[in-house]
Amino acid sequence: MEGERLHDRYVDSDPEEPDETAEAGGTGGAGEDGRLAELQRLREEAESRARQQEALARLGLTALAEIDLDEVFDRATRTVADTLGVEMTKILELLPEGRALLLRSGVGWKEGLVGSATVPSDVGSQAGYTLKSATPVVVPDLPAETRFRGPKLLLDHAVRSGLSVIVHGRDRPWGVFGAHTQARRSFSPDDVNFLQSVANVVAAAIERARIAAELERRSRELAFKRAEERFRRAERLASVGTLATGIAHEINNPVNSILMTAESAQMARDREDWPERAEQALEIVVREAERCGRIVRDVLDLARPGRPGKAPEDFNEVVQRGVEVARKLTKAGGVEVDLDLADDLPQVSLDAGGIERLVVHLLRNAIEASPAGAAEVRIATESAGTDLVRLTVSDRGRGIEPALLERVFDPFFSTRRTWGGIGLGLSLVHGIVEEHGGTIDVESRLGEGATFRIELPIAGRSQAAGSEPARISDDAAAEQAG
Amino acid sequence: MAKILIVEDEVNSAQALELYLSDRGHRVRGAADAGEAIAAARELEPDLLLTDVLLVGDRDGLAVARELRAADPDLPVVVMSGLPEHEVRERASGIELFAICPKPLRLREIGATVEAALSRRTA
Repeated sequence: MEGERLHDRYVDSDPEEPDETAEAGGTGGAGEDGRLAELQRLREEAESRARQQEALARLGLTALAEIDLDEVFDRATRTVADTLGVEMTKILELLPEGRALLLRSGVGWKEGLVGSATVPSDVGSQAGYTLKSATPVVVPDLPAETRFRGPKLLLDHAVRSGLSVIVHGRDRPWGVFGAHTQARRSFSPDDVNFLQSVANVVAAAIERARIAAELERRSRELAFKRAEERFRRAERLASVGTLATGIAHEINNPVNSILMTAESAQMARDREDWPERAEQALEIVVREAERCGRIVRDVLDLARPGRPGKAPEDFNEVVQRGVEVARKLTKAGGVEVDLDLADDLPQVSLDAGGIERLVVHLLRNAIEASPAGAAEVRIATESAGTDLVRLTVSDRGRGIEPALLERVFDPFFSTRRTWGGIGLGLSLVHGIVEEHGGTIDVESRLGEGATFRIELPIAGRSQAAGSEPARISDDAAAEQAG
Repeated sequence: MAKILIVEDEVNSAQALELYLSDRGHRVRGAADAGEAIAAARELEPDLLLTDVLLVGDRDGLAVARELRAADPDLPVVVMSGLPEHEVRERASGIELFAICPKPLRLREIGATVEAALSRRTA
């Protein structure tokens, strides 16, 4: 106990008498010898301070010029070892969880430890104690130390004396810088200042590297964002191009028929069969003009602005209305529609007109894919979990080639051109599903038909009369409170 | 009188063309897709191919032209299409086209082009 206190005093508060000089010059001697010894000691002290300042200046330059942080660490630990004359130096990094410190860099340690060895960050270790005490810690004799135990790393290396300081970070200590010896020695206040100064240079280098990394991350993010914007714009332009080409092509066909038919009738004016030819021509012109009208309506539908008004609706009723509309529009005979509607569906918040159109397009699509006059279509509704309703439309038509499955929702993608469909139907369906925040997928086997599955969120149930009064009042209360 | 094969999958357009050209004294055969066109050509041995580019099915009107040219290297080919001309030329690579007529077509123009192609053939 007494011995330890002496040590403390000897090392911490009596640095004017370090080991080496104590032996050489004795203690407290008066007279000529004493004064000479004192001068000698002062000179050595000044030289040491000059060496330390020079080393610090060099290290500072390195830290300013060097981008690689590990290189800065390496230079710092070597500089401290050389300048203080210690066998072991270390830079410990406080790991993110804060429970341990990693030996990031250092000299004098057994092979393989730098980069992998850790020491606990609790006050049981010198490093942990340094973090906690927030001031430089001088250890004259580790085995006799009472403030903390020597961690395994130090004991394994027979460390006796040492000095450690905090490497400051932005909002918490970044780590600890340590210098250790196997022989017992003391550290002067200059030594302590030197180590702390080195640690501060290291801290500045770390902060600089952090800022550089942050800047790089931000500029990368910005570059990525710009590239993404460019991509989206290109995609939009491409789709405008696709749309324009598609519309032009689709309108061109009936316009071509109208023009040639009318011209042909004009030229037949002097012929005997002119009345019949004119009659025929007019019929064709009307039909083809109607076709133009359908294309224009479909295109306008595609361009319909989003966010339709939604209201709680009986899903089955809306689906049934869509089926009726489709039946009237197609006028096709031999279409068998098997309706399988679940009777336990909740009200669904939807745009009834949109969902009707969706059913019409899906049904038309199914009929077109089926052999003429022998279409078998199954339309089913059901709950899908607690939040969704599912609509399934399956046909037993020719199916879709696997390679084309991904493209069926593309505007103007169509494998047929005879029936007046122009390849917008499934694009419209896709758009309507998206407007409802739902999902659509398609499954098909060539020759065995196709199944379209649509899931729509029930959502907005609180809007249904009196269904969730508690939540409404909570919201109102929150609003008042805010 | 010449024998003309018209390949056009739009029924009403095809009908108007067929009527117009037959009124002008030509023997006309119509086909709606590539397979039908190639089969008809074997029978008809046409003096001129008047074809649309985009057809239902996996072969376009230029595939028909390629096939018929193999049997008759001098067969004049007149293309009718709503596609931009450069796209028609790209698809036609290697086939010499007498003319590309952009849709919508005027019968009189098509008529003049057809006569020009036929007169070069007989010359």
